[in-house]
Amino acid sequence: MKYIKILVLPVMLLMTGCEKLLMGPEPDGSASATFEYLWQQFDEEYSLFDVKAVDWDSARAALGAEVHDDMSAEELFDVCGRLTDLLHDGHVNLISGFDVRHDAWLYRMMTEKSNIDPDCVALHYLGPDYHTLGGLCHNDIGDGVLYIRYASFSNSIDSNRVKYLVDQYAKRAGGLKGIVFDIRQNGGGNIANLWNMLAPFRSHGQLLYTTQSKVGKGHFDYGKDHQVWAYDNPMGLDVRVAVLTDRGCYSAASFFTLCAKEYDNFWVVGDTTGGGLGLPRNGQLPNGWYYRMSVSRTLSADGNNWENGVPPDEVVLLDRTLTAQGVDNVIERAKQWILE
Amino acid sequence: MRFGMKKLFLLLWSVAAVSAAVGQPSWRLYFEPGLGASVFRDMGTSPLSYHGPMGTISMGYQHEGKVLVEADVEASAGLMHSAISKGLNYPQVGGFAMAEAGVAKNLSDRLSMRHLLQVGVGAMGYADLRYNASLGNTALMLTGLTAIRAWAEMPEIVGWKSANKRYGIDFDHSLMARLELLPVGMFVRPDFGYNDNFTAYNDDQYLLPRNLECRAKAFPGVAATVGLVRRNGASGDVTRLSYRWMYITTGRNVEYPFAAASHSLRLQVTLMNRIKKSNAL
Repeated sequence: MKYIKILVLPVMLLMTGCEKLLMGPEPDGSASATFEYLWQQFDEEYSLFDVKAVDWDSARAALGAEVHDDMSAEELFDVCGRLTDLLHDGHVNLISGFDVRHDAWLYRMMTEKSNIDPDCVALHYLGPDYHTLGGLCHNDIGDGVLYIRYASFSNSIDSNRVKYLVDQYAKRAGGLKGIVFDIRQNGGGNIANLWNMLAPFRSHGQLLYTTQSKVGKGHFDYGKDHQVWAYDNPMGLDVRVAVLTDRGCYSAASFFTLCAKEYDNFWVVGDTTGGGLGLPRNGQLPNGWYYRMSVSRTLSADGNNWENGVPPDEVVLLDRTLTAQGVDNVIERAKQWILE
Repeated sequence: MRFGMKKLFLLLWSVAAVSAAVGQPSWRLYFEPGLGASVFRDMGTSPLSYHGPMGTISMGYQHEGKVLVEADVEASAGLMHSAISKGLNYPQVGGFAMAEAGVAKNLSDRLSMRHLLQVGVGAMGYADLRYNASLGNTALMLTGLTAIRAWAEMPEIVGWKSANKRYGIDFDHSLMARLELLPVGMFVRPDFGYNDNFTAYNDDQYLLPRNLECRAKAFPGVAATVGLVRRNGASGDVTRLSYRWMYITTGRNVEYPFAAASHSLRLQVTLMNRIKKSNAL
C-alpha cells in the first residue's frame, strides 16, 4: 500500500493546480481593465469601421481618461456605453445585470422616421377582417392586389404556406395582379425566414449579396468573399411584388430588402432601411458584462456597402395628411406599380 | 440521452456476444461512472474561466487474446459558472459535453517488458456551451474541439494479493497508470448566436458559417490516470478506482486560445466477463 501513498497523492496535488499555471491568470475585473478589454475587442474584431466615421484611437484616449478603478459600475457602464454609441450600430450593445445599452441615435432615427401609420394600415388596408397565415397578416386590397403585413422576421414563415396563400388569391375572380409586401418597422429576427419568403418566387440563381468576415486584427482585414445566390427557380411564382420599407427595417429586414432588389419581379418602395447588414456575435468582459458587435460586412450585388441603410428603388415618404384620411400613399404607389 | 446510452450498451453487448460466439472467450464489458470538476477558458468569447462540477460515464469492451484490444466510449458533461458573480452582473452558466472512443493493444511481448504495456489511439470531441439568461437576454456561445489521442498504459505497475477468508475469495490488486497525449486535432468555433436586438426589439437568430474558425493543428493536450485495480480471483471481475486529469488546449494555433481541463474520480466495474482463469494475475 505504500506505493499508493507515494504515487497517487503527489500526482493528485500536482495536477489539481496544473491548469491554473497552464491557462495563465485571468484579467482583473477592474474598471480600467474592463474598458481597455472592450476597446481592444472592438478594435480587433469590429467589422464596419469602413462605413463608420469614427476615430477609434481618439475615442480610447478621450473616454479612457474618464475611467478610474474607484468609479461605480453605473459610471463605468455609461463611459463604455458612450464608446460603443460612437459606432451607431444596432447590432452593438453593452449588457450588464442592471441595464442594456443601445444606440439612442439609431433608435431615434428608426422611430422618428417611421414611414407607416399602423392605425391607417389596420383600419383601411388590412382591415378588421384581416387573415393570418403563420407570421403573415394579409387581406385583399382590391384590383387583384394582395396586401401582406410582416411585422417581424422573428415570426415564422413557411415557403409552402406562402405558395398556398398566393395560389388561393390567384384562384379568385380576376386573378392576382401582385403583392404588396409591407415590412416597414420590421426590426429583423431570424434570417432563415428571409429564404422561406423568397423561395416560392421566380428566380434564376442570380447573385444576391456578398459577405465578408473579419479574419485579422486590422480594421480592414476581411476574409474571402462568400457570395449568396438566389434559388434557381424559373417555374416559381410569377407575380409582381412591391416591398415597402422604412428606417425601421433592420438586420434581417435589410437583408431581405437587399435580396428583393435583385429579384426581377420585386420592387422596393418607401424609405431607406435602417441597415444592420453586419452579423453580430456576443462576447464577455472581464467584469462579467457582455457586449455584442458586428463581425461581418455585406456588400450588395453591385458592390455597395449599405450597412447604414439599403435605399429603395423609389423613395416615397408617408404623407400624414393622407393617412389622416385613411390613405397610405406608400401602399397606393406600390399598388400603382403593380397595376402598371 | 437515456435512449442513446441504451443503444450504446446494446452495441457493446452485441460486440461481446459476437466475440463469444466466434470462440474468443476472454473478454469483459465494463462500466465506469465518475465525478469531478472541470474548467474551460475560451479567449474567443470571454477572458474568464468557467468552473464547475462534472460527471462522466464510460463503457468499454476489453478483449484479451494474443493482443489486447480495448474499445471504450466515454461521455462527460458539466455545469459551469464563472468566478465573476458579484453585484448585478448577469448570472453566467455554461456546460460542456465530451465523448471519447479508442482502441488499445498490448505491446509488452513485442517490447520484452516485464510490466504489461498497452498503447492505444482514439479520438475525442469536446464542446462547450455558455448560456446567459436574465432580463430577457439570451446569449449562446459554442466551441468545439476534436482531437486524436494516443496513450500508453501500465495496468500493473505493482501488484499484491489479498484474500477474503469469510467467502474464500482471493483478490489480485495492482496499481495502474496511463498517460495520454492529444497530438493533433481540429478546433471549431461556429459562432452561433441567439440574442435580442435591443435596438429594434426583435430576436436575432443567426449562424455565422462564414465566421467558422476551423483549424486542424497540433494541440498540446495531455491526460494522466492513476488507479487501483482489484480482480476477483474466482469470477475474474475487475473493479478499478481511478483518478484522471486532462488538459487540452489549442495553444497559439488559433486566433484566440481555448483550453479545458478536468479532474475526475472514477469507479470501474465489470458488467460481464469471460476472462480465462489463466489470465488472472
